[in-house]
Amino acid sequence: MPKKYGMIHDDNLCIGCQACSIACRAENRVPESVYRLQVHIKGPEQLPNGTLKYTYHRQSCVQCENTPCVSVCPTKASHKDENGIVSVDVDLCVGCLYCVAACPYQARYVDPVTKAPGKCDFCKETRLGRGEEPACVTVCPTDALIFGDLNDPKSALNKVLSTKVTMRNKESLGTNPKLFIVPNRRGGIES
Amino acid sequence: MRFIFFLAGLSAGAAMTSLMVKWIEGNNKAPWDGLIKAGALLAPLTICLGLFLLIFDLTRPLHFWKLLIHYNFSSVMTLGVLGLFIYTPLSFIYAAIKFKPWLFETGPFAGLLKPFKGIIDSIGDNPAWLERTLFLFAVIIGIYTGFLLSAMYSYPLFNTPLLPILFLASGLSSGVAASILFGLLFFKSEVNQKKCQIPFGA
Amino acid sequence: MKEDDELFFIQGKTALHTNGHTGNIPWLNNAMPTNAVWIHPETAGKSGIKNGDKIELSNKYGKQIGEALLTEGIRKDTVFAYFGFGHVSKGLKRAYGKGVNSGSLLPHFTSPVVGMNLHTSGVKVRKA
Repeated sequence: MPKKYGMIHDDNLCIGCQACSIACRAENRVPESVYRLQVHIKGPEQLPNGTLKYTYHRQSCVQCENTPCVSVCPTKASHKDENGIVSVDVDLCVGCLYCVAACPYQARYVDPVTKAPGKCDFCKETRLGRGEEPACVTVCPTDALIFGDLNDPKSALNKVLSTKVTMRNKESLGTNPKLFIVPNRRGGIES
Repeated sequence: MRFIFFLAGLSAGAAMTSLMVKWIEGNNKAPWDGLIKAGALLAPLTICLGLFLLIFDLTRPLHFWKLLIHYNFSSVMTLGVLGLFIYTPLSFIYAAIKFKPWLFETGPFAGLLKPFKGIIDSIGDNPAWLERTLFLFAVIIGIYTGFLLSAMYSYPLFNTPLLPILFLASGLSSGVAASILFGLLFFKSEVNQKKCQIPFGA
Repeated sequence: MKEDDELFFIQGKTALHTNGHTGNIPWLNNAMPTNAVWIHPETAGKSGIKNGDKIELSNKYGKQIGEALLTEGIRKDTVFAYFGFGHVSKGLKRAYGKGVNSGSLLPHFTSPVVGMNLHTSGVKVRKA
């Protein structure tokens, strides 16, 4: 059975330290001016009970199943492999940037060296091939990221999905993303 | 990039204008004659300019040829490329037919283009198949930029089904306007000549 | 240590940098080059401070100029700034002079019983 890789980002555990962003940059040799992954700290917002909370939003590719970026690429440079990971074949890319515009999550950037779009690919070229988890997952100091195979009922990913309440961003667009968020219900900051 | 969309729409509109004016009976005299010729000339020139600018709008322009051999039929851009494969040569042939005297006898390239005279002659003067196919593909080119943008459904302005029709209407209106403008500016020799004849005949 | 007419001044560590050591590292400096002073919008309004304004924090131990960040995430009688910024070494080219040096506003006061260095201090805030 082919794998279907997914990831959970737990907003309650994330502290916005950007260690994932830095590790990603180091592992995948991301050029200086662009980011594959960032954590955006939004807030403080008021919860219904009057307390405040911060939201830690993981800004990266969410590996859609119903990919807008793959269906608009005219040369099939943007493609999805059998494990469900979306990546860019730089040799086929002409740089029309249709995929960059079509992505609802603004997850793609233009690589200043190859001039082709780049994005998070779950460390497919670097760590997954060696059997390791993506850099962001390994380095997270609070274990806020969980990675695994959605098709494997015994994986740690599925265990957490079945015990915690998760949501996904922009679900109403029908993209079926594979990055799940455990929403932040901590609150408790009193102004 | 926006200029390219405009040029594609204008080219399609000019082709449609030229053909529609031509199909209405009694339009092979002034001032409509100028309009037909202007539209016929504008269509291939503007689409070529648009495609040229498109190549330099890519971030990897030297690889543009990959667009021509690799296809992804779920992408509107591939369908546009294939549509242009048919529309561009047809628009050139249509312009060649309309400007036959200038191209092969009186123009500066008459000697160079002599070999092609036979091909253009064999197509005929009013080939219905050419005109109808060209009209169909002009509509397709006019609409396809709308479909191109509507694939980006996360932008609220673009995910309306009205967008392709909007682009077609805009292309048609700019094509008509450009044809009228160029017709009156550059082909008014026919316009004035014919107009002068009416008082004498009356 | 804190006068009656001053605001409480509290400090903290940012998760991105490691104390002051990492201030000059390019990747980390790009992500967070400077620290802002957190101040409640009402307190700021009383002194005519708007978001992004240059403000001066001063007390008897020192004076610092920083940028104001208006946020509800701080008490009305308190201001906050991260440690690890406001470097004074010119050699740290990316980090020199950026942000507020929170340590220079702290007293050199050793607590009598346990002997620890106290970080409690107050500051006066005004537009710079």
